[in-house]
Amino acid sequence: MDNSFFTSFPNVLISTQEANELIERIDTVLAELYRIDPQRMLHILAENMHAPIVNALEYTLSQDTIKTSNQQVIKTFLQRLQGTIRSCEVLSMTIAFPPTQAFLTHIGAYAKQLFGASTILEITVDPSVLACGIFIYKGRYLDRSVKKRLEEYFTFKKVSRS
Amino acid sequence: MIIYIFLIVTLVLLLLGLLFILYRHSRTLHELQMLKEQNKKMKENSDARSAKSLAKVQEETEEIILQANKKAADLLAEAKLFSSDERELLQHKLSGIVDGQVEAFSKINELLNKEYQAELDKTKKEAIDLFNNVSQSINETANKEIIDFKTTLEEQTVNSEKMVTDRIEEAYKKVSDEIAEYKKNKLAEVDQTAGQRMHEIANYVLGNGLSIDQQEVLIQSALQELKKQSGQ
Repeated sequence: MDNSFFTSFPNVLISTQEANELIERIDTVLAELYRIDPQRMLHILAENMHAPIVNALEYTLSQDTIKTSNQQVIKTFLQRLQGTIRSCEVLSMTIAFPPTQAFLTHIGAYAKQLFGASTILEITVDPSVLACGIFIYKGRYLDRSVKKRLEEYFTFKKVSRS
Repeated sequence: MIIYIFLIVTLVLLLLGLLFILYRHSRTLHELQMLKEQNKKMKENSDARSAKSLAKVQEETEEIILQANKKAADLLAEAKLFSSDERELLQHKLSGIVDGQVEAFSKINELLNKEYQAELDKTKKEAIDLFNNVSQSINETANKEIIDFKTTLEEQTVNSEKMVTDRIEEAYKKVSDEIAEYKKNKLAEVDQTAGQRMHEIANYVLGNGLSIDQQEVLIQSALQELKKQSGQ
């Protein structure tokens, strides 16, 4: 199995939602491995995933090394893929609006560019933050929400008045 | 209301003071009247003593005259028995006796007058001293009681003023506290209302005014800041 697949695969993962779903599907496939053919396995893994993930999996699973391998090789491949996904760094973001796929793609790419290819986004939607958001990465906490700015403004007003 | 109470208390105290002064004045007049009566009695006693002394003098004088007359009668009776020479001699002796008796009477009269005058002066001096002492005592007592009353009145007035001042300060502090509490509650209410309104306005403006692209720009800016903080 080519190591470059596992090295480059986190590039196509954007969110923890995708990562968790993929891990669950891999568990399902591993449980049914003795009776699943590669095409069906691809269908289970890639269904409703966004295009880059589907393409990466499709390309890999179409390789002869997988098609002709026995179940143990496929099992090892899938377990290693799970490990790769679990080792991704999580960037938590609380934003005010439900993200579109385009937004996730842009911000995901930007985050990977800033923090590394294995960075994936954990998105929480909270309209009370109003705009921008709250971010946590490797224990660092940054609240750049407009809600906090407003609270600071009114707290300052109260203190200066009293 | 508190000022009215203060005025009423002050008027009551002044009225009490006036009544007290009237009472002291009446008492002083009464004592003065008693002194006058006492003086009158002393004078009457003195007159009685003088009259008694005069009566005594008169009595002694009459006794002397009676003795003199008796002696003269004796001499006259004897004179009838003597000669004319002897009668002249007797007449001469009799004149000498009368002159001596007149002189003795004058001396006694003068002495008694002096005694009477001394007794009268002494009584008068005692009466004047007594009157002066009583008058001074009354004056001192009245002065002391007036000073005490004045001090009491001043203390009562000061206490009343202090009580009124304390009550005014207490009422002022209570009202100030209530105003401060009211102001605090109102400001908190205004803050809460204003905060809610601002939140709603900001939510409305930002929620509807910021596009996804603008939100994305803000988030990218925040991610850059997070990267600087994490030191990567």
